[in-house]
Amino acid sequence: MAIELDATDIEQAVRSLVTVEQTNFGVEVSLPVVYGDGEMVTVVVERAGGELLVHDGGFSAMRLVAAGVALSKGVGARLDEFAHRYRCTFADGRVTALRASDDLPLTVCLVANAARAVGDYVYELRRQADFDFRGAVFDKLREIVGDRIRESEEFRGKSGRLWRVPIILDPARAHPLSFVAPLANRSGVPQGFAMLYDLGRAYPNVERDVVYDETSDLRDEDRALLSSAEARVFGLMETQVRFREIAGVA
Amino acid sequence: MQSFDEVVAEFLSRPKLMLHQPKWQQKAHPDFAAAGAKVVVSGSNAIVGRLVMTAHVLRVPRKYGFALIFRGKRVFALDVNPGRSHRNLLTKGAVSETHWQCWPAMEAEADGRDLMFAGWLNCFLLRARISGRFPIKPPPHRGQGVQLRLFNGD
Repeated sequence: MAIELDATDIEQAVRSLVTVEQTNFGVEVSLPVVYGDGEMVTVVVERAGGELLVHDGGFSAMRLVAAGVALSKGVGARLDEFAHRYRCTFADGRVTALRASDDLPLTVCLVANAARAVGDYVYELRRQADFDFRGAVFDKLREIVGDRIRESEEFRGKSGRLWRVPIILDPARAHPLSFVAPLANRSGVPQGFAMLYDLGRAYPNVERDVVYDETSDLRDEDRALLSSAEARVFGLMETQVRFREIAGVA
Repeated sequence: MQSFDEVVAEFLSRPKLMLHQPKWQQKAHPDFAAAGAKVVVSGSNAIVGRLVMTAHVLRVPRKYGFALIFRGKRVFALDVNPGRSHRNLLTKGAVSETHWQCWPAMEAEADGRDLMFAGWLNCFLLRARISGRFPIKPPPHRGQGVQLRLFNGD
């Protein structure tokens, strides 16, 4: 049976999503603007110094932090760019309208959209995942080789390019035993291959190891490409066994 | 090879240990405080996650968030007094009160209890299977000051 398309019903249904509540914080307006996970966007209207102030109460930044995003200066600047698209600013973790008094309903909608745009930054968490994975690899390595791990050392490749790379030192801690490339996902494959190939030609006696995340989107072809740079490629779960062999730890 | 959902399910089901004491900070965001700590699966230091807690410092009723992050994803969460409605996209319906969410669906499951911060924290740690010997302080809150400012007729 076909569903009747009734403009009035649809209008009422959408309007019913708008709720307004007075709290200690000001007037909180929930709008028909939704984050990707189904949570409604709420905007706060308050009177400050004789002017109306429309902001998100820090709710969208709070969502980001709760999803594991670190609000660094760089991230703040990026979020401010998003907010400016909707005539708002992002400062001190809060999305605020640049001017509220001209047209309050429109301003409330602009802030809601800016807040949603800020909240959407959660979908750009790949770099954070890289960081977490790198940390997991180092923790594992430190367990096995102790102070023979260096998290970031500079080496010049055959091309002349300078690379920053984690290494395992030999037992005398005098020379690198292995260059280690942690790989959280496929996006790191081209860079990983270039680094290992370039360093391999400059330091043929130093081993090359790639540790990848088994839960990532890495394909067999990616592993084959990395192996062609004469690197040993293995998953995080195998780290314990592999690095014990490489480092000569019993 | 395990799928990501299977890896998350394993992570959630296994006991975890908090590695350090979470400390409340609000320097970059005066509206709310946040604290976090690394958690590892007991007996497997390679399986690492992060406990993240957030607390609004102005709003009444007090709004808290507890979340477990794994490989960059929020895989288990508790939103206390969210102050906004959550629409369940799969099972339909809306939840406006305190609710839990769990990977993979992350649909909101309402919890009608009225607890203090410590009570919700204990519930979350218990359900997330996180243990730790570190005392966790309640978050800062200065809601009364704002209330006076809002209603003093300015």
